[in-house]
Amino acid sequence: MKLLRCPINGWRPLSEFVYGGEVRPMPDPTAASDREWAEYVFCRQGEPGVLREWWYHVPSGTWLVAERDTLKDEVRATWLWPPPDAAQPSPDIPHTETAAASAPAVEAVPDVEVARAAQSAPPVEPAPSGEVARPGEHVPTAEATSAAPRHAETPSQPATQPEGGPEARA
Amino acid sequence: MNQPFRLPPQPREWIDRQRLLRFSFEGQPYTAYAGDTFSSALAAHGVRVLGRSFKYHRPRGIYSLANLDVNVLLEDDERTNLRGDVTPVWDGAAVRAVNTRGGVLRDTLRLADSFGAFMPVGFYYKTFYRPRRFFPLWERMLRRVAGLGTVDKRRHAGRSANDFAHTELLVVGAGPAGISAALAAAQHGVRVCLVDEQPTPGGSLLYQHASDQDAQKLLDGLIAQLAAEPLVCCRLGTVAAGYYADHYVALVDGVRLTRLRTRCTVLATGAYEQPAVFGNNDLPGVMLATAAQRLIHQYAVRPGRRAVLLTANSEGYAAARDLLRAGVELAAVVDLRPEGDRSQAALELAQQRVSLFVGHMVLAALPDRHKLGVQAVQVAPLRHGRPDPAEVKTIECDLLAMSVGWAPADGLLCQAGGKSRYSEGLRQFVPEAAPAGVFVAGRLAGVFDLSEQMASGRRAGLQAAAYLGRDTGELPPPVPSDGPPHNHDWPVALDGAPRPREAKAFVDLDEDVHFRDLVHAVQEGFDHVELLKRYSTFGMGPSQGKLANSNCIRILARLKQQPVGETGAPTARPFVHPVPLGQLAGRGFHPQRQTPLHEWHAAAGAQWIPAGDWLRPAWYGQNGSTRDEAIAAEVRAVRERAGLIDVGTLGKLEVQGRDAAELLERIYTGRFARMRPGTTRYGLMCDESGVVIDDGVVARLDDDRFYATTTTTNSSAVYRELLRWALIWGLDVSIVNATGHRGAINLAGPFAREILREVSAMDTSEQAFPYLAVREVEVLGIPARVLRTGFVGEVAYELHVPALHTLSVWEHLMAAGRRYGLRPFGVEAQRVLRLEKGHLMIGQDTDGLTTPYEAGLETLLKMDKPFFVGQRSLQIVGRKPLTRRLVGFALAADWTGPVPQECHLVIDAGEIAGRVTSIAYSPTLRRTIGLAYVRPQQAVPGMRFHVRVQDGTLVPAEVVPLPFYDPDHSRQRI
Repeated sequence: MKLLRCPINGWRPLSEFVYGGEVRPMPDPTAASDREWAEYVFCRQGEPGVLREWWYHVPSGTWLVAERDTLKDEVRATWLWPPPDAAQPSPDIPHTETAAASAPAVEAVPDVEVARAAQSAPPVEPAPSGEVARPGEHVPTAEATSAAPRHAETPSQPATQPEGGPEARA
Repeated sequence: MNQPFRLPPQPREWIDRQRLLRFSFEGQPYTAYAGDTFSSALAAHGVRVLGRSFKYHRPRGIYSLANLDVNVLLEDDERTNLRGDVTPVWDGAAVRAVNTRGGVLRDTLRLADSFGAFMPVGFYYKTFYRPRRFFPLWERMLRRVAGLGTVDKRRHAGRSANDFAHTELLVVGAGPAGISAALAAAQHGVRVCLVDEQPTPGGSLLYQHASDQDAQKLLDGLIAQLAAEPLVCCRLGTVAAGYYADHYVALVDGVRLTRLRTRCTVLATGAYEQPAVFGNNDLPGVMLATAAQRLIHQYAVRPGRRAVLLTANSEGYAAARDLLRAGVELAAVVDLRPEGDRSQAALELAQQRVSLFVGHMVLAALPDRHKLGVQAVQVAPLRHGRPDPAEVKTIECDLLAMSVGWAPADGLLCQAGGKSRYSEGLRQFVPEAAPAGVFVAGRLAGVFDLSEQMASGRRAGLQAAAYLGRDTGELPPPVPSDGPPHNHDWPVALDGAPRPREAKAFVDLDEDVHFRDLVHAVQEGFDHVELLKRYSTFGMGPSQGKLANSNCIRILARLKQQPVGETGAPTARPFVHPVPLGQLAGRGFHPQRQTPLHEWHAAAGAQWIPAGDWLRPAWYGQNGSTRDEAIAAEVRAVRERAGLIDVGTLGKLEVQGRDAAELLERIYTGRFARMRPGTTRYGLMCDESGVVIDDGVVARLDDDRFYATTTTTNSSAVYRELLRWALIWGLDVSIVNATGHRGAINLAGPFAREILREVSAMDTSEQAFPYLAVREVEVLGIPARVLRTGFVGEVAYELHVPALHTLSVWEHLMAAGRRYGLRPFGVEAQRVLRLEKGHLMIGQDTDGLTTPYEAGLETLLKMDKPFFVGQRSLQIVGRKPLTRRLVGFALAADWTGPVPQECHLVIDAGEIAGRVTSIAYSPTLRRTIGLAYVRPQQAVPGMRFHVRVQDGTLVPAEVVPLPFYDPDHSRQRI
């Protein structure tokens, strides 16, 4: 069984994770044609190579992004969301006018799986190889992390796909 | 009872002569010593025929004695396919050979051998597939004749254990190289697990070097060091059976399967001795030289009376010397190499005037009168690499030992991702590249000299320690592995042209594949190693080609006139040895969730039904009523009085924060942003393709605080996806999965309000607490969230209370409701009740492709919202014509024929038009009602369609408007 490095919990066996599919930016639903939208919903990258994938660590409720070479089945790096140089994952969706958003007082959250959603976690710097617990694992290297995400340049993606740069979304 | 072939005590014998065991084989009584295997004990009695072959039912005996062949497969009344070569005798055992008719000596199925000429390779493939309707007959017939043991299906094997282990370094193989590696690594503080399939450490030192005094002193030293080394944990009698990603190794012993996670591995698995290919090379009495040596040194059994030794390396001469010392008459040594051998053992043999045939090959073994063993061998000189039939000499013997080469035991290495290459110098495959953290040593690495094997083991151990970050200083230089070869490149007596009356020369004994089969298969075009393997079935038997692959590759290379290196080897897969399925299954660790009311349900006679990870009461078996009676009574109670159901398995999500409403607005298809606090709304969830995936009730407790339920089976997935979307959109929201944190109880029925009043001071009037409202109140002093719901179609309150207090609330409600006729109801009654109301269940009435349009849920889609997941896809879907539609239907009230079941097909004009998704008898409406997908043009009330049931009957049904019961919903808002 493979091991995967969760940025929060360290190396954990793969059975503790759920696969979440390739990280793919959603095209703007108001601008995309039917064909472009169908491409986004149904067509998946099948070519072996380096992919960014969603993985979810079940016991701790942590979503992470792993960069994996699907040909060699080697994980090159993992990050909390968002990964470095991520294309904008979703178009800006206008907020619905909410009834009232004034009350800040939130009662204490029960001590169970606490979502990290609100934390909008900063990208975890890939650990230098000296810190990695297990030798032999491919630790993220400068080369691996600086490589442009491959999915952004594959031909099967719709040509008009928005490729907004790494935008700071607080 | 004497054992005529038993030798006087040997220095390292594995048997305990103080403990005599009795057993029977094929009905005959025999004796054994503790430590004997069935094969060794029978060999001590001079029994040679121990089994029959898989296809031709040829007699077979000891061949490798190392679990590399399955000639000796035994069964008793309980177990089958016991490997006689490695299974220790137990006192009172009564075993027989598998798959014989009339016993191993007179197996009548041996006739198959005579018909061999009419059963060429692929015979079964080509013959027994037509006519197709006869196939079951052919299959039954072939299964009776061919094959191995028969499983006793009545026998219930106990569950075997399953455990987990961790180590820093795993060393596979406790021979000279493996022990050296383990000790070298342990000296640098590495925690080592040393595994060997034999019960005793020592590897080849135990049989190949058993008569070498220096080697035995060495072994004593190694064992003493192992015993004194606390960091090395030895697991003997354990097979490292499979190598998986990130150094995860399956260890199998007789008792359990251990999943071992190691950080690195030294493979010192050694090599398998390989047989030669000549006529009748499977006769009892023909065996590997190491098998003869194992018999002598481990079991103190003389392998025969008069031997011929066929060799192509110096190991053969050492084996010949061992045979002489064990009192075997050595009729001849036949050496394939024209130059012979110059080892010490060869010199000794020459001095003892053993007749030596250099540059000769065994052409065939000749059977005795009963065809049950070898009686003589034909030897011929090699001319240009081919035996010359004109100069055949016949030498009488009852033992032919072969020592012509070795194949590396590289199964684990290949599974780990390593690669092998063919070394022309060594004439064998050697490891070329090992993955990170895997190191090879010893004979596996092509190192044959004992001291060099130990040096390569030490180096591998130090490599592993350095890999683990230990300071090992400079590593010793690599041990060269470049010959002289210990393999012959063509240990085969045959060539392309058949000879008259040629005896079968086997290349795979497991599967009865012989030389001529391979020739024919290649002629038919199956000339790639993987194709040839599958067509001829070489290497596909229980031994997985341990003794076959090497020779088959050589033969294929020669037939194709290409180098062996270009021919390649078939892929090695787990397991190295077969593992019993029961051991793989082990004990299950799948958790079963129980609600806080589980014990109460059980005491009330609940009949359970699994729901996702949970167990839920399907119905309550009270007062000996039948299932249908109980369900009908529970339904009546809810409709006429009141019922209580445990709905604690529903997913429960707390969604809080400034953007909580925004998140729900984008996830659910309806509108949630402008909900007033204190209200609830039904929520429908789609995936990005617009398929319905979940539903539930969303309660707004406060401006920034929501409480949402999900379906029982989907709660984890919904929670997970909510987390992800919130993350992607960067929303200020926190989500808590409170599914196990709260219990939930649904109180429903005309008297529900009265019963709730008994336990709570809250104002339950329709004005103060209307339908679809939510209140945070105290019930019996316990903080509760109470939701007015309508799933079953009566006045209903859903009480969500902390798990710890759920039982107390339930018991108080039951007590308070007694005088109103309150009774608990289960999932089955709830299914009927909601069906009467026409409420669909996601996952039962929808499938992986159902859109809201098909399910009749389009009124829940707020397509003018800015966004919800699935909206854009539904815009496209909505423009396309519908292909099916979910409708309510009813059977005629007086229908007495067969009743359809869920998934029975709707038939329209002889074609499939849809299927039934829910169906039940409604005690309220006194007829059978259901939900079904039909063609859109059929989805009009009053239309009739037919459902085809199991026996083919077409049952008429009529489309009925939904809901079946209380269409204006007056009963749930009184």
